[in-house]
Amino acid sequence: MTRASIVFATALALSLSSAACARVAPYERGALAHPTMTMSDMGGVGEEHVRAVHEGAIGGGLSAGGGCGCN
Amino acid sequence: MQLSRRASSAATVALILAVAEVARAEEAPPTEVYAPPEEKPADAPAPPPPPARAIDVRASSEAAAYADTDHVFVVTPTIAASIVNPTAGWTLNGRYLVDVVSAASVDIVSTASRRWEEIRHVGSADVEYKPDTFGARAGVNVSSEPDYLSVTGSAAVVKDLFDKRVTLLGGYAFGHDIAGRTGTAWSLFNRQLDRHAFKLGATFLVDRVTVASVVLDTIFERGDPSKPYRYVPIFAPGTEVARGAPPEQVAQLRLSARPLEQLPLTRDRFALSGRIAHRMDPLTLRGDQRVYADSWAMIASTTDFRAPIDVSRRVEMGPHLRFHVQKAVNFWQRAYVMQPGFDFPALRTGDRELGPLWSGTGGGSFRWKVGASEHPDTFILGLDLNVTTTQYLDDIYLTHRVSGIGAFTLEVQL
Repeated sequence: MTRASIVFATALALSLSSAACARVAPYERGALAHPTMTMSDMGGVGEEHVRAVHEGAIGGGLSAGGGCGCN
Repeated sequence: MQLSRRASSAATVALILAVAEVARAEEAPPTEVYAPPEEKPADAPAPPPPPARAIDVRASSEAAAYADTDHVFVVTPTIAASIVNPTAGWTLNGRYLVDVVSAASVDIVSTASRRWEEIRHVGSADVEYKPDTFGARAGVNVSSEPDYLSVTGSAAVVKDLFDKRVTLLGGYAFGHDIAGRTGTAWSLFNRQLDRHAFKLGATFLVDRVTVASVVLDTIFERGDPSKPYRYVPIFAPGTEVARGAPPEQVAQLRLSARPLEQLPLTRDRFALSGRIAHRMDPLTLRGDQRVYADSWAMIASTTDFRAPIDVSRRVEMGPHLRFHVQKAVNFWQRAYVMQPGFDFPALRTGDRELGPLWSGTGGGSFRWKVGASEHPDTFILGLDLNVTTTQYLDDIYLTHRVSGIGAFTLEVQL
């Protein structure tokens, strides 16, 4: 795949994705500012660490280390 | 007749005007009706609004406790603070936690070891600067315990596009881990592991009550992640070992040789995550779906659902459900057998989290905003409780485990 086609594909994907999004004026974004609408994880640090140990398919975080109590 | 008609018309108009005047007086707020005469000129400037806080400082603490039916207990106190200047667009975050682990799990019992206790310290800090549509952040994380040290540095950039309807994210993190053995100098024994993590993502503003995101994570691990305490039982060819066989039975069946775990020295991991949040005031519906695959042939799916609801202006609560299922790595065996020539299998593990399993979590969260009436969220108390049942589909010691984690949080705006 050439560089131009990668740029074109990226631009096309962005254009399509932005077209799928509604125009929302700043004064209409009150509901989006609610704390529960964050795209961050809502679990606490303890829960995050337990998941990293219990689910072998971790990824997207580098919080796992030792201290897992798992031999 | 004409006079009387004119008189009745005038009376009707007068009645309409009178009714309208009364109605206007009733619609007007009492302060306008009964307000004293204006003393200041009409063109006097309105008083300025109270100045917004230039810097927002928040501190929080969390005390989490974990226990499971495999006799593992963990207590994790955490303190954190953030300093935000919303006008200038910068944020500083810092966090410190301690893990106090006490374990007498079946893995420890099977090696005739005593209860194991350990303390882990983790410190992290990050800074973010996003004055306008372009932002950057950088962070560092250090995790230390007597026989394990992990240091991670990360950097990411974000860019808002199309009037903030789309936000792109790109990030990179490098982690370096050193595993040792308690009581042995690092110079005499250590195993090192490097991790390169790349993150690409986008957040989409779907409509005025819905936001969604897609994130691709790629992690390349290089080094030896094998646990230096984890011994793997080896059996003679043809030995039948039942799923969930207790340590005593395994001890009778296994050969005397018991090598340490040995994992592959490279691992490439890929995860694609999608998240959507939809606000139906006073309820928010949040759903996550994540699919995962790696070069050890593990495949997994994780689904997470939360529905926090504002019960009142001060109270928020909601359920949490999670389901995880995974396929084993390609070198997984319930019972490893001695190879011809009395060789051990080159790759072997006793980590049941690398085997086939599924887990289901149910729980919920509770937030109580106890700050002053005009700003109740300046002081928040929180409680999260989750119970997880895990089914191990092909493990020698355990067939299932039930675990619970509770976390009490306190958040204060200073």
